Amino acid sequence: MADIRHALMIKYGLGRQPTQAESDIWFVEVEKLKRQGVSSEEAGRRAAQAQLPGFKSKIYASEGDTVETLLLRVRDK
Amino acid sequence: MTASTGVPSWLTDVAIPIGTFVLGFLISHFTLSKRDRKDIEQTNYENTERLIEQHKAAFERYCSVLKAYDDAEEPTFDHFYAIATAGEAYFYQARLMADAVLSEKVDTQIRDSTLMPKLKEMTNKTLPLHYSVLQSIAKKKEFEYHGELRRSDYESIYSAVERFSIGP
Repeated sequence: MADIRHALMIKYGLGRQPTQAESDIWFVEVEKLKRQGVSSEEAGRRAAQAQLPGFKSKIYASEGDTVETLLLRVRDK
Repeated sequence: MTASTGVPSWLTDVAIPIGTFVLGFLISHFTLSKRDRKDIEQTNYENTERLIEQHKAAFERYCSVLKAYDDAEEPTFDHFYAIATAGEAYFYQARLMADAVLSEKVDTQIRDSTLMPKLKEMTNKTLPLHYSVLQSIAKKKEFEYHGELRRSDYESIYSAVERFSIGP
C-alpha cells in the first residue's frame, strides 16, 4: 500500500505522502464520483483536490525529465 | 571394514566417504536454508541501496555541470568537456547498476520500482540526447568531438531493459 500512497504524492504533486487513512478516504471519494458517472481520471483528480494534502503544490520530475530539460537548455544556448 | 563382510574394502574405505562428501557438498551447495536466503536478500538490498546512492551522486554531478554550462555567459571548451566526462561517469554508474540487475544481485522490488524506470529512461531518452546535444554543440562551437552513441558501449543497460523492464 505504501506504493499507492507514494504514487498519489507524485501524480498529484502533494506536499507529502498521504497517510493510509487519507488515501482510503480518497479511494472512497473516487468510487463515489465514478458511480455518479465521472471518468476515473477526473474522479481521481477531483478527489485528490478535495481530500489530499497540498494538491499540486509540488512538481516531481523524474531523473530523465531533469536531464532532458538541462540538455535541451544547453543545446539551445 | 574388511572384505570378510562381503563388501570390498576399497568401497567402504574410499568410495563411500568420498561419495558422502560430494553428495553433502552438492546438497548444501544447491539448497539454501531459510536463513541463507534471508542473508542473500539482505545483501542484495544493501547492494541496491549503495548503487542508488552512487548513482544519485553521479546524477547530481552531471546536472551541476550541465547547469554550469547553461549559466556561463560564454561557455568554453572546459564547460563542454565537463559535460562529456560527467555524462560518461553518470552512464558508467548506470552500467554498474544494469550489471547488478543482470547478475541478479539487487532487491527485486527496488529493481522493478526504481532501477528499471531509470535505466529505461536512459535508453529511450537521455543516452541518445546526451550524444546528440554534445555533437550539436561541438558543431556549433567548432569543438573537436567524435563521441557517438554505440549500443556496445552500454550493452548491459540495453540488455537489462530488454530483459527486466515491464511495460512498453
